[in-house]
Amino acid sequence: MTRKIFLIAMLTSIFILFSASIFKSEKYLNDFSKSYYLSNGFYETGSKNIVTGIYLDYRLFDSIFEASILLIVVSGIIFISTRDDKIL
Amino acid sequence: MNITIIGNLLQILLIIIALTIVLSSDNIKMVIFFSAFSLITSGLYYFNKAPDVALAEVAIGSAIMPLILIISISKQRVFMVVNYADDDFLSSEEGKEGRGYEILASFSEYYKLKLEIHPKEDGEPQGLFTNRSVDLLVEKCPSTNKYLLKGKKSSILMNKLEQMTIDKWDIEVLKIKEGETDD
Amino acid sequence: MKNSSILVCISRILFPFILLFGFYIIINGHVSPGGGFQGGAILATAILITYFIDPERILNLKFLINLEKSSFIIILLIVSLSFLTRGVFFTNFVPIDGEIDIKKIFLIALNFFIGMKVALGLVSVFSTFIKEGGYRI
Repeated sequence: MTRKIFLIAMLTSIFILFSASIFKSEKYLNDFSKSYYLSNGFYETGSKNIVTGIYLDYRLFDSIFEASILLIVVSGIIFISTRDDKIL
Repeated sequence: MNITIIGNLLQILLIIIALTIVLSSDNIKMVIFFSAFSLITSGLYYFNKAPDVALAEVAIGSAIMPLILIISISKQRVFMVVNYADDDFLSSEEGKEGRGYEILASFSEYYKLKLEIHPKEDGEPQGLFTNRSVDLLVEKCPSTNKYLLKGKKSSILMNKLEQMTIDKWDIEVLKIKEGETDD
Repeated sequence: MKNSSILVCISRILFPFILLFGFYIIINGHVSPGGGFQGGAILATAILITYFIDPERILNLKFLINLEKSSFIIILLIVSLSFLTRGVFFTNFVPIDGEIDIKKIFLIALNFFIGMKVALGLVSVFSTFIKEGGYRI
């Protein structure tokens, strides 16, 4: 019973925080990065598609680790499927 | 203007398909509806000016995920039996089928499963999550001359098998807890 | 299990076009929507279609995973080339006030290798599933 009460209290507090962050976020919004990418993106990265310019130049660190996550997933699946008898 | 009308129609269709996925009981139908769900979602992404996300969604969500799910479902439809008994109790030859084979064939006919009987000489069957995928072990007890059918306790199918063999005096169904059949 | 001849025929017709579309999306990633990941997923779908044509054929998994690993190493090498020219890792290796046409080389090469890597990864995932599932499409 106490678990349910705690769960409901947690969910309502999360809901209140989320709705507060939605309604009060206007004064923190700015379009600095958007206007920067739109004005300088083509000359700094050479890409007409600004999405490619962002994920292959400004945020390349993220893309590399996305690729490494895929590598880890694939090798994990192959490892589990072939060495099954020895693990379990 | 037309785009907003199409977008609203697609959103209504998306809600209907999502409810169908949740309420449907057939697995294959569920996978097909999931594929349609991804297709409609990618259309909505396109109308909301995100063509990159739409391309990724239409390739991953409606082609690769359903294939992997269908393979996983089709693996469930096989009823795998490992035969440890030496005589012709489970022989599947035409004309002189063993008694155990007839029981298991009618059982798997009832649940629309595909029966696969592996002899002992094959050793342990290889594959993904091997130890969980053997459904039934057939042994012959040397002291009492009874045939023992060993299955998992958590499987619902075992109750039906126990009902079917309740009037055969030399067949006994043993339900074993999870993890003990691994050896 | 043998496939129906309509499915095999349609798959044979569609296979080169899907392959072409995937390469188009990868190569034109810096001009039009798309890029390495999306094109790689479409290429993986094209290789998935070959299982409809010939269900008996299963690709060599060890070779695929070796290719994937080496393409990941090539990506890391291309990315760290910028340490020699700009002094910073993880950016373009052409200096920031260089020609735009030369900067495109970096984008095309990186898109290409990321696309290869994603396609090989997805292909090895579902060929593992097909091989171990014991189910032939």
